[in-house]
Amino acid sequence: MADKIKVGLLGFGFMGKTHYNNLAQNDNVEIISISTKELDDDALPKDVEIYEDAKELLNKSNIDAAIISLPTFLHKEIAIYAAEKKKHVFVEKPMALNLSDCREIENSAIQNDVKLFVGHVLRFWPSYMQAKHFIDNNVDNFGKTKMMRLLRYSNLPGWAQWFTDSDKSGGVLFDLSIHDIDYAIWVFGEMPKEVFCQIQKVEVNNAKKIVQVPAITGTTLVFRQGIAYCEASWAAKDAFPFTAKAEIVGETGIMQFGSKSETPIKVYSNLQAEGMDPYLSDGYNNEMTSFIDSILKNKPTAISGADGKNAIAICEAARLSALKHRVVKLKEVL
Amino acid sequence: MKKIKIGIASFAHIHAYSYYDCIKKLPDVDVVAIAEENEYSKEQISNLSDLIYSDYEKLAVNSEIDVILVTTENKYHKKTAILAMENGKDVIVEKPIATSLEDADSMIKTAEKTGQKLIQCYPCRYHPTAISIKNEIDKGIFGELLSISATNHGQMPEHKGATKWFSQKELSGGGALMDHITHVADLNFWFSGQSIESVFALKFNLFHPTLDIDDAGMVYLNYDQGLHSTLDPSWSRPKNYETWGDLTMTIFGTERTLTFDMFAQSARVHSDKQSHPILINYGSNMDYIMLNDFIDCIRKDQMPMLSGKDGRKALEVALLAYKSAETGKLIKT
Repeated sequence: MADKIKVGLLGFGFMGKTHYNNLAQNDNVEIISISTKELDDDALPKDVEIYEDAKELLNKSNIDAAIISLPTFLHKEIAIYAAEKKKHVFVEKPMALNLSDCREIENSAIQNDVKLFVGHVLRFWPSYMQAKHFIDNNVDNFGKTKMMRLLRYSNLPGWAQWFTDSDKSGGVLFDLSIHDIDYAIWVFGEMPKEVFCQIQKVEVNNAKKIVQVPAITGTTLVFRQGIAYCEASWAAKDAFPFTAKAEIVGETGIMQFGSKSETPIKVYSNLQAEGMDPYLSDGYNNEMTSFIDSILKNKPTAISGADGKNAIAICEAARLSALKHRVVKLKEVL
Repeated sequence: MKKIKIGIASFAHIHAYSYYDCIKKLPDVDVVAIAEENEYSKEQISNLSDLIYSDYEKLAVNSEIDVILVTTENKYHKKTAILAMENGKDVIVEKPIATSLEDADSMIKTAEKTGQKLIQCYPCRYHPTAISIKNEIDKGIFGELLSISATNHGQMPEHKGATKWFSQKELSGGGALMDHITHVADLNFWFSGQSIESVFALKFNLFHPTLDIDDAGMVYLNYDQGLHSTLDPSWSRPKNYETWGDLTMTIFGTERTLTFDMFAQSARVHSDKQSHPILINYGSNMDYIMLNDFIDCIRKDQMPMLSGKDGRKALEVALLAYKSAETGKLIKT
């Protein structure tokens, strides 16, 4: 059997744990190390090296690949550091907080000849993946994609304070709506010509301080052959279930899918309702398998640095549009 | 109870058939006559009344009639409504009130001058679901309204025969944006009590490339006390869609989040006779509730909650959207 890919996880929050669980099931992977600031986290496995500092892990731990699930504002520094240490890089979405940071990460990966994969998980999400397949194969003569309406509603991420600091997370546009923005450019197969966006700030209580968070956003992307409207909100109240909705209209048909149709199992107790959406392999597992596979077979990653950068370019154009209250052409930010 | 006698000016607008059915069910209301200036729909309407005129003026001067329902092509609302009011009739006018603010203004002025009622159809306001939302908002349980994300999707009315005019700008005033902005614009005004501050819109022809008409777009509406709203008004439902379209909203308030699907009260029906499932709505008939209130108000000589002024406000939003789409600019009011 070929050598296993030795992996280090940088960041062990919500996403880091998800990736750990998937990597732990991958026969081609050996998890060597984890870095986290939460050294007393009960969920930390006993059989791996634990570091408090991400760079220390990259310096000392004998790994082939780094899985970066750190807060967004740390992506650039750590991704470049990892590439320079000749580690293949998986970086969570959003790739970074601005286009020039994305360029630096991408260049660093190229110069150091390491793989770079950006975690736009919708490209591996069963329903979203199947819809793209359906369109690309013109099933039922669906025709060219004309219009997409992509919605994503969530409570304010309560598990970490950095989300509500838009200097660190980019706010709802860069953190949440970017899923759908990336999906739209993947389905249309090109970058939009121009965008219009509005971003609404909402007051939230963050660590006993009232702060204004960019929490509701709607972006219209104008492509040569059609349009996509991507809307996301962090303003849903606590009891509101996470909701993703997609509607794709082609020349002759319409497709509608989303989180509502993805919970075949619902479990109720006296206190709460819980939906379960098991797949043989879910989106997070699919993307991680693809990343590991690209290293094993030495082939290009399915979601490249350029892809990560393109999504950020649109977010930058959208943010500029929201600031200037006008249509922004993509070439203004590129 | 005093009988209210109604004349219907044209069946050009497809809603006229539903309104006709509702009026027939109302107690002490008669459809006395119909006028139709279009050739195409005469056959369709020949059995709806014993008295069918071929021009709207004859209807206006019939002294037996109390109220004229104006369901002509949008462009002819003005002349038909003014003729009716000048001949002593109250008017119920289909939305949008007209195709220009000037036309709307002259209709409103005529109503003031003649003392006749100019009543505007916005049936959504009478839907029990919408009324429930309005009551909850008024009670303050939403806190401040932050955002309303709305859709008013539909199929494009067929570009032939009686419905051809919907996609002829000179008769309709515009396509999907004209047809579908005003319902949500009116609901937003009613729900929030806020005034519009700026409008941005994009319009496209995505589905009917041979026609010179907008069938898709995105509309952003900003209000003066902090509410923002977006609307997809597209004629984007395929011909074999399970129903005509939708009206949905997700409302984010500081204290509540609400999702609203006005036509959710439907059964999905599959049959060997149909190539696709269809939705049978068992929700409330808002047209009936609205017309019942309109007739009741006319009988009591009161104005219902919807007047020509409400019609003008909603039309203004649609026209601002077109102005924005044509100039590419955010339009401030």
